[in-house]
Amino acid sequence: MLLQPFHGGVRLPPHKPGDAAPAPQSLPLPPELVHPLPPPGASGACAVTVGQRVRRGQLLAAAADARGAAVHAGSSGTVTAIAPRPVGDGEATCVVIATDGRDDSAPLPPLADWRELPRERLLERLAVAGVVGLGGAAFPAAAKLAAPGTILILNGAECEPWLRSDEALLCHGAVEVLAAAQLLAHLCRATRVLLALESRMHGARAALQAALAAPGAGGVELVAVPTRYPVGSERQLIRVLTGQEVPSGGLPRDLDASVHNVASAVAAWRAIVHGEALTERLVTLGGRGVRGAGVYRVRLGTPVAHLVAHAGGYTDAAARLVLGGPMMGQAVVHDAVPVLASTQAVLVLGADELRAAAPERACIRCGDCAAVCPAQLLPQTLLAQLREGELEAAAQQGLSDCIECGACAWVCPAQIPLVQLYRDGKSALQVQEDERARAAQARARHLARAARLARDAAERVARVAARAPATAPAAAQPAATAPATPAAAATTAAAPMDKAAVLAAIARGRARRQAAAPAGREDAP
Amino acid sequence: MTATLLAAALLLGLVALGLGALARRAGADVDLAARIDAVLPQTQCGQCNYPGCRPYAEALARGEADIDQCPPGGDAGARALARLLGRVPKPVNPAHGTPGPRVVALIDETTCIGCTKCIQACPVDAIVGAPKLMHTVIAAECTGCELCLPPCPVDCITLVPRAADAAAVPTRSTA
Amino acid sequence: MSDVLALLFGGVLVHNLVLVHLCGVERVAAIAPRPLHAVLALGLFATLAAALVAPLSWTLEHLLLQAPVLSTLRPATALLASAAGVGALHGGMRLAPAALRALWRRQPLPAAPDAALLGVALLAPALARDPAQALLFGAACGLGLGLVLVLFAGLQTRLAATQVPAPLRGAPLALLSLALIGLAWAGLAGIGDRL
Repeated sequence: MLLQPFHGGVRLPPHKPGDAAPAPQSLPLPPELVHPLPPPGASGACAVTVGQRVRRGQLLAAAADARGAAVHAGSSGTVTAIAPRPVGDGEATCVVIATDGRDDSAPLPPLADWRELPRERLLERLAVAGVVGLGGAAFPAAAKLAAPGTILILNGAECEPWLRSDEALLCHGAVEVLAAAQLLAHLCRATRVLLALESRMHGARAALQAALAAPGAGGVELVAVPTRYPVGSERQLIRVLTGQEVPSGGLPRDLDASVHNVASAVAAWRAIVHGEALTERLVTLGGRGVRGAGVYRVRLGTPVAHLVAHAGGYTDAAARLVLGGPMMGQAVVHDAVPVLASTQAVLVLGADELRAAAPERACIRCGDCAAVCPAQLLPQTLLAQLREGELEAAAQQGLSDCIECGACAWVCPAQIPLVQLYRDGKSALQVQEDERARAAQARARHLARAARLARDAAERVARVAARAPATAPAAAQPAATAPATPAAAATTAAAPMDKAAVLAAIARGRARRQAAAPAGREDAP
Repeated sequence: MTATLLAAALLLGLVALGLGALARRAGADVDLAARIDAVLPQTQCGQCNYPGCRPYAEALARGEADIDQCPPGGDAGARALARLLGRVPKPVNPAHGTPGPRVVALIDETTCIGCTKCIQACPVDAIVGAPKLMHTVIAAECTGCELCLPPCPVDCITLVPRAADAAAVPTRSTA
Repeated sequence: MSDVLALLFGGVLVHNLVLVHLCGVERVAAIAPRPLHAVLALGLFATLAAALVAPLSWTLEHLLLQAPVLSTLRPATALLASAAGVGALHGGMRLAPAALRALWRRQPLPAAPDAALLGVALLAPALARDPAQALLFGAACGLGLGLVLVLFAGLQTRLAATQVPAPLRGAPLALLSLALIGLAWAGLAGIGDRL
C-alpha cells in the first residue's frame, strides 16, 4: 500500500525497548474509586445517592448531551461521597466509591447476535455503556460511529514516546481486536477496514497476522505506518493512509472515513458482546521516576497513587508526573487524581528525561515551528496575534485547526510555550462564542420587549380612541383592565401603593446599604 | 498622443472600476448596522449615550459615533469594531465607563417591596414579579446593564459577578 | 507604446513619490494598521487626485512659466495646481453616486493638498511632454503612492503584533523601514532613462 507523508511532524526517542509490548498486568482493586461526573449544568443527572451500594458497571450518571458520556461504577462498593475532588489539573464533582472487594458486576444483557440487530440498537447500547474513545480524546463512540464511513481505520499507531497501551492490546489481544474490527465495520457500513500500526511494532504485527490466519477472521488490512509524531493523530493518519486531507473545520466523515482507536473498538465490542460497561482500560506506566514500568489493566477511577504504589513506587529520580503521553499529556502536581478514560499513560519522568527548563526568550523567527506543524499553520503569526489579543485574526489563521500536538513547542529554540498559548486561545474563542450566544438571546428578548411595548401603546391608543366619544371616566378605564402585562401593571400599581411602607422601605434600604458600604462597589453610579 | 491618452483613460477607467467595486462593497453594507450590532454585547445599558445597542450600531454605521463608547464590550469589543469599520483601534473611553467583569443584578428579596419599577426598567425582561409581590432576576437572562438600580426606591438591587457555571454541587441526589 | 510603458513604470516605480522623491512620507509613516480594502480605497482616491493635479500643473507651467525668469514661481504654481486638483476632486465627489460619496467621506484624506500631490505637481511638468502624458504619469504616480500605502498598512499590521523596542516604536520604526525600502527601490533608478 502506498503511504503518503503528512506535513511536518517530529521524530521523537521512542523509549520502547523490545519488539513486543509486555503483557498487561492486573492491579489489585483500590480501596477507593473516584468517578468524575459530567461537568456542572448536567450535575442533576447523578443517579446514585451517598450510602447507596453499587455494583461494577452500575450507572452513576447518564450522559449530559451528545458530547458527554455515561459514567459507571468501576467496582462494587458503597458510595461514600459525592463531592469535589481533584481531577487532572483541576477539580470536578466526583462520586467516591469505597470498594468492598467482592467486585460483583451488573452487566447489561449481551447482544451476541449483533449482526442481526438494527444499527440504532447497537449505537444505543454503546451510549448506555458509556464507551468513549480511549486514544486520549474520550469522545463518545456512539456519536462518532453514528456517521457511517466507507473506510474504517483502526488506529493502533501510538506515536508518543513511552505509550504502549495499544501495542500491548495488539500483541496480547489480537483476536479481540479483529472481532471488534468486524463489529465496527458492520456499524460503519465500511467496505474497507485498515488497521494502522507503527512500523516498529513487530510483535504486534506478528500476533495480528497469526490471528488473521485463523478461520473466520480476515477482511482487515494491516498497514505499518512510519513512526513519526503525530502520525497517530486522526487527521494525520487519514492523510498517510488515503493521501486525502480532512478539510479545515471538517471531520473525517467528510472524506467518508471513520477513525477509531483499537482499544475503543475492543471496548465497544465488549459492551455489545459481553454487555460490559466501560470500567477499565490499559494504562502505560513509564519513566525513570517509577519502578515496575509496564502496561497495567486499570479500573477507571483508580487513584494514580494506588497504581504507582502497587507497581513498585517512585524512585529518587522522579521529577514530574504526567497523565497521558509526554507530548499531549497533562502534568499534574500530585497523585491523588483518578485514572480516566482519556488517561493512556501515567508517566513519572526523571529530570534527565525532561527538557532542560530554560527561561522563555524572544522569538528569533527561525521558522522551525511552521516546518513541523502537522496542521500546516503558521505558529509565529498565531503567537503574535494571540499575544496581541487578536483572537479573530488568529481564528482566521486557523487556530481551531491546531491539534495541540506540541511539535512547535518541542522544536522552539526560544522555549516559547506555544501550545499553551494556542490552548488558551482556543478556550478564549469558546468563551467569545458563548458571549455571542448570550448577546443573541439578549437581543431577541430586547426586540420582543420593544415589540410588546409598541403593541401595548397602540392598543391603549386604540382603546382611548374608541371610548373618547363615550363617557368621561373612560380615562380611568385602561387602568383597571391593563394589568394583563407586567409593564402595564406597573404603571397602575404605583398609585395605590402604601406610601408609608415605601418610605419605611427606603429608610431600611439606606441603613442596609450604609452597613454594607465598605464592601460595596466603588464605582456605583 | 492618442496612445498615451488611451492608456491614461484605460488606467483611470480601471481605477474607477476599482473604486466602484469598493463603494459597492461599502454600500452593500446596508446591513452594516446589523453586522455592528452582532459584535456589540447587547447589554442594552445605554452607557454609549444611545438608548440601546442597535441605535449605537446605527450611529456607528452612519459614522456619527466613535468605536470607544461601549464599556461592556471592553477593549476587545472596541478592537472588533475597529476591524469591522476599518478604523484605528483604541481603548474604551473612560468617560463612558470602565470595562469590568460581567455582572448580573441580584434582588435582595427581604428588602424588595414589589413596586415593579425595576421590571419596567429592564431592557430584556429579565425580572419577574407582580405588584406587591417579591421580584427576582432571571440570572441567565440578565445582561448586567444596571438600568434597574436607579428606579428601585429601596435600593434592594446589587450587582454580583456572573457565575458562568455555578451549578450547585449535588450533595444529595433526587434519583 | 514604449512611451506609455515608460510613463507607467516610471510613475509607479522609478519615480515613486514616497520611496524615491520622499513626498508624502508623513502620510505613509503615520498610516495606522487597517484592512486592505480601506487602504485600497485611499490609494485609488489618491490616484484620482494625482491624475487631476498632474495635467493641471503641466498646463500652468507651460502657459505661465515660459520665460526663464518666471521659473522661480514654479513652487507657487505647483501648490496652486495641487490645491485646485484636490478641490476639483472634492467638488466631483459631491456629484458622485451616493455609494462612492459615502466611501469618500470615510477616507481620512486631508482637505489641504499634501506633499505627495505637491510632488506630482512638480514632477509632471518636468517629465511629461504633453498634457496627455502628464495625465498618465499623474495616475501612475498615484498608483505608486497607493502601492506604498498598501505595503505600509500591511507592515503596520504585522508590526502591531510584534514587540518593538520602546525607542523605536511608532514613527522612528516607520521612517527606518521607509528608508530601507527606499534603498532597495534605488535599484530601479535609471530604468526608462527617457523619463
